[in-house]
Amino acid sequence: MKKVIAGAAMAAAVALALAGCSTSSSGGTASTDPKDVSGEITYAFWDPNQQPAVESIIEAFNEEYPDVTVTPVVTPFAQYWTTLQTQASSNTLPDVFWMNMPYFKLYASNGQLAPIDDLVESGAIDPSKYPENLTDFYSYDGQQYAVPKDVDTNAMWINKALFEQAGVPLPSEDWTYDDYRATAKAITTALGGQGVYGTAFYLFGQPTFYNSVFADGGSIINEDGTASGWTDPGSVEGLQIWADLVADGSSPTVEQLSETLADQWFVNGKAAMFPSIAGASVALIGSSPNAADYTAFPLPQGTQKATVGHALSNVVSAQSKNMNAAKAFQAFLASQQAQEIQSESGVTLSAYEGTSDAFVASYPNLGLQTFVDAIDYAFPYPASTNTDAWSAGEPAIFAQVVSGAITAQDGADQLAAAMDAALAKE
Amino acid sequence: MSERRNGWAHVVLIVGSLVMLFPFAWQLITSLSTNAEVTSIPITIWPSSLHFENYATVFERLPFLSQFAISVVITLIRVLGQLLLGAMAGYAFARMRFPGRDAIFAVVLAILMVPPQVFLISQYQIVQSLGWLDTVAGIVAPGIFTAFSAFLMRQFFLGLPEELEEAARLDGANPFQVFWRVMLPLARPGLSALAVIGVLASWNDLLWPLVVATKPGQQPLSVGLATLQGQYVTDYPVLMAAALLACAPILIVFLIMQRRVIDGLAFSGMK
Amino acid sequence: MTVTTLKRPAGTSVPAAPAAPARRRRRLSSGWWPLLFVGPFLVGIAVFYLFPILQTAYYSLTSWGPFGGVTFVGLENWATLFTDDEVPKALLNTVVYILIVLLGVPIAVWLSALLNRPRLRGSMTYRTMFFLPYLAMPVAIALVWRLMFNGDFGVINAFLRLFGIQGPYWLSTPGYALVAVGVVGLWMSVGFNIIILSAGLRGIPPELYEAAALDGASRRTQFWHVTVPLLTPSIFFVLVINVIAGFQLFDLLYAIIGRSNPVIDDTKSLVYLFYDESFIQNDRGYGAVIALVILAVVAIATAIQFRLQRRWVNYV
Repeated sequence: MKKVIAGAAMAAAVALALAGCSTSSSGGTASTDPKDVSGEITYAFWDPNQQPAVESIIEAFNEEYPDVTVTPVVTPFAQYWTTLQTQASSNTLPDVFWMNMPYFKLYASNGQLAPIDDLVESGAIDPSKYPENLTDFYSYDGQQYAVPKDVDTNAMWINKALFEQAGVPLPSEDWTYDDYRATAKAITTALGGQGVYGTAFYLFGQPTFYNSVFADGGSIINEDGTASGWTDPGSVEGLQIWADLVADGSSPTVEQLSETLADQWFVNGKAAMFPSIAGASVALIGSSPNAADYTAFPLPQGTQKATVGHALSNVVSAQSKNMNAAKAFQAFLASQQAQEIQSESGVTLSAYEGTSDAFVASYPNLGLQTFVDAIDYAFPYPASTNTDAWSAGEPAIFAQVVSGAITAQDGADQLAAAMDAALAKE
Repeated sequence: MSERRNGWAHVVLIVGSLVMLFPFAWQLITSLSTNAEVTSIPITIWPSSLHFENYATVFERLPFLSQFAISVVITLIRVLGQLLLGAMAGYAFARMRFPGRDAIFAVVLAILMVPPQVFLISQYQIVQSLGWLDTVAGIVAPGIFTAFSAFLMRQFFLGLPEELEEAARLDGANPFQVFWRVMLPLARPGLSALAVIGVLASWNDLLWPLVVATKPGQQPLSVGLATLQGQYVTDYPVLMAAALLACAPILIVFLIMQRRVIDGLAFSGMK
Repeated sequence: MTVTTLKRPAGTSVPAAPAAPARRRRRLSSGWWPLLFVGPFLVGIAVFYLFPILQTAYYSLTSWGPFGGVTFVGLENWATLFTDDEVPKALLNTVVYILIVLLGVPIAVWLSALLNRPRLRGSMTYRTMFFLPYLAMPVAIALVWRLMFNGDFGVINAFLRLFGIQGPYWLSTPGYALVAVGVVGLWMSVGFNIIILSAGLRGIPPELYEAAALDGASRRTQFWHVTVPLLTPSIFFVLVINVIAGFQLFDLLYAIIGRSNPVIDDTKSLVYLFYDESFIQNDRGYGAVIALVILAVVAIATAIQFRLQRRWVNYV
C-alpha cells in the first residue's frame, strides 16, 4: 500500500513539476503582469532573528504582487529537518523554504525541488550577481535550483587587548598556520600564569579543520561527492595543526573545549584568538561588554588562502500547489531589493553583489569586511547526498586527534573509512 | 510522637529539598541575568543587577498570550479525552470479561515501550489523510489515546472494592450506570493524578504540534519556546524566563490539586 | 508476554476487601458492554499506534527512500543487526543509565518514609519541592546542569574540591558523561517516585506499627520489617515504570550532551541510535529494526519483573 501511495506521490510531483514548467514559460516570469499572480503560499525558515527582515521583504513583495499572501513559518533549527522530511514524505512541503548545503543534494536528487532555470532564462534571477563558487553548488544534474541567500565565511577573532598585554604584535594579514601556532604559543607563554590561552577552537569542522584542510591543499570530499578527500596528504596536515596547538599547551584541552565552548573562552578574556563562522559569532561578539577589544582577522593560510563558505538559499517545493506565486516570491527573494533589506537588518551577510555594506556597518569596529573578503577564496561547504551520515561522526574522531590519542594520519584514515562507508550507501 | 523526634527527618528533608530546588533556583537567577553573565567564566551565579526586562522580552518575541491560549485549549481537549477514554478502557480491562482481554491489554502496554519518534511519520500521514493538518483535531487526535491512561486507570480500578458495584447492580443498574454513577466518582483521585500527568505531557509536547500545525497562529507555547533557540546562538536568560513562565500554570494546577494528586497516585502502588 | 501475570488480580496495599470468588464467577461475561467501554479507545489505539507499529515491522524488511518509496529487501536489515557493535554498546549505555536512575528508588523509599512520619510539619511543602524537577523543561534545565557539571568552573567540582577531591570533566569523559546524565534523570524522577511511594505508605495500617512498637522494635527495625515489606507493591510499580521510561532515554541525552560533543559517540542510548539511523543516517529500514529491538528488550525486561515479583512482592 505504501508503494502505491509513494507511486501516486511521484506521479503528482512530476505532474506538478511539469505544470510548473509549462506555466512558467507563460506566467511565472517577470514579463507577466504580477497582478495576475495570486494565492496563498507558506515560507519556512529557522532563524527567529531573521523574522523582522523576512516580514519587511514580504511587505515589499506585496507592493509588487498584492494578491499573493505569504505566511512565514519559523521552525526551530533542531526540528527543522525532521519536520521537512515528514512533510516531504507526505507531499506537504512548504511552498518556499530555506535550504542549506548539507541537505541540498538530498532534496534535489529526490525530485523535491523545482528548478529555477526558467527564472534565470527570463532574467527574473541573475546568477551572475552571486558568488560563482557558491552558486554552482546549488545546481544538480545540470539544473539550477537556487542562488545563495546569504553567505557564511570564517575569520579569526582576535582580542587586541590581550595581544598588547602579552607584548605580542598583531600578525600580518597573510599569516600562516605556523604563525598562528607561534603566536598562540607566545601569548600563552606571556599570559599563561593568568589562565589565558593563546587560542581556543570549536571541535567541529566548519570553523576549524575544514578551513585548514582546504588551506593545505587537501579536501574533505571530492568534487562530485563520491569519495572522501581524507587520503590527500594536505588533509592530514590540516588536522595536525589543531593537535599541535593542544600539545603546545597553547589551547585548552579537548575536555575543556567541549565543556566550555571556544566563544566562552574568548569573550571572557581567557583565550586571545578563536576562529569562527560569521553567523555564529558576529552578534555574540558585537554585543559582548568588551567588544571594543575585538576584531575579525583573516584565517591563517597554508599553501593557499582558504576558508569554507556556506550559503543558505531559498528553494521552491516541486509539490507546491501554487507554483506561480512561489516562483515569483523566490525570484523576489533573490532580487537586489530583497537582498538589501536583509542586509540592512545586520543579521546576516547578503549574497547579492554589493549588498554587504550594511552588514559590515552593523558593527563598524569589528572588521567585518574580513568575512566579505573571504568570499573570494571560499571553498563550498563539503557535502554529499546525505551529508549528516558522515559529518555527524567527525567531532568524535577529530577530538581523538586533537587530544593526541591517535595520530593525524590515523584520524584521517578513520574519517575516510567512515565517510566512504556512508557514501557507499547513498 | 512529638515534632521534636522528627528533628533528623527535617534535616534530611531540608537537605533533599535544597538539592531538588537548587537547579530551579539557578534557573530563576539565570532568567534575571544577562547573556554575558550566563556564559561568563568563572561562573557568576549572582548577576550584578536584576534584569526583569528579560520577562518583558519574552512577550515581545512571542505572541505569548495567544500561544498560551492555544496551549490551554489543546491541553483541555486532550486531557478530557484521555480521562474519559482512559477511565472507560481501564475499567473494562480491570472489571469486565471479554475474549482476548489480557492479550489486548498486553498489546496496549507494549505501545509504552516503543520510542515515541517511531510514530511520527505514520501518524502524520494518517492525520493528513483525515484532512486534519493544521487543525486542532490534528494536534490533539493521537494524544487523546494513550496507553498510559488505560494502564493507570486499570491499576486504580483493580484497587477499588467490588461491593459497591455489586450493590448497584442488584439495584438494576446497567454496567454503564454502575461505571458512571458509582465507580467514576470513586476514581476521582486517580483521575486527578492522570490529569496532572496528562496536562504536563500535553503542555510540553513539542515535535508533534510543530509538525502538524505549521500556521503561526495555531502553534502552542511549547513550539514558541523552541523557536527561542537559535541554530548557534541562544539568548539563555530569555529562554529561561520563558520556560519559567510556561511552567508556572502547571505548578499552580499542581498546588491546587496537590492533595488529590497525592491521594490519587496511591492506587498506582497497588499491583 | 505479561498476560499471565497481569491478569492475576493481585492484592493491593490499600486495604480493599477481597471479593468473594463465588460472586466473581457469577459476574456476567458482560455481553456487548465491553465493546462500548474499550471500543472507542481501541479504535484510536489501533489507528494511531498499532498500525504504525505494524508498519514499522514491515519497514524493517525494506529499504526506504529518504522521502518514502520502499523496496522489499527481506532480512537484510536484520542481518546487519548482528554485525552492528553499536547496538550492544547502546544497550549497555542504556542499562547503565537505568541502573543509576533506579538508585533513586531506595532514596525515594527512605524519603517517603520520613515524609510520612505522623505529625510531620511542612510535609506538603517538602512534597512540592520534590515534585518540582518533574515539571522541568529538559532543554532549559539542561543548561543549568551543564553549568553545574562544568569541569573547570562548575559548582559540583567546586564542592568536591572542598574535600580535596579533584572532580573529573563530567560531560566530556566517556564513563562520567553517562553518570552525569543519569544523575539528572534521577533528579527528575525522585519526586514522581516519592508521590507514588507515599501513597502506598498511606495504605499501611497504623496498627502494624503500634504492634511492632509494643514488641519493642526500634524505628529502624520497623522500617525494615514493616514499611519495606508492605511497600513492595508500590516499589514494584515504580521499578516497572522507571525501567520502561529509562529505556526511552533520548531528550535528556540530547539536551545535556548534544550532538557536537565528541563524547556522544560513547554515550549513545538505544533510542538515540534509533533516531540517528532513522533521521540522520536516513536508514529507515534499519531504524525500524532498532525500534523493534527496543520494544523486545523492554518487553522482556518488563516480563521478567512481573515474573520475579512473585518472589519478593508481598500483596496483602
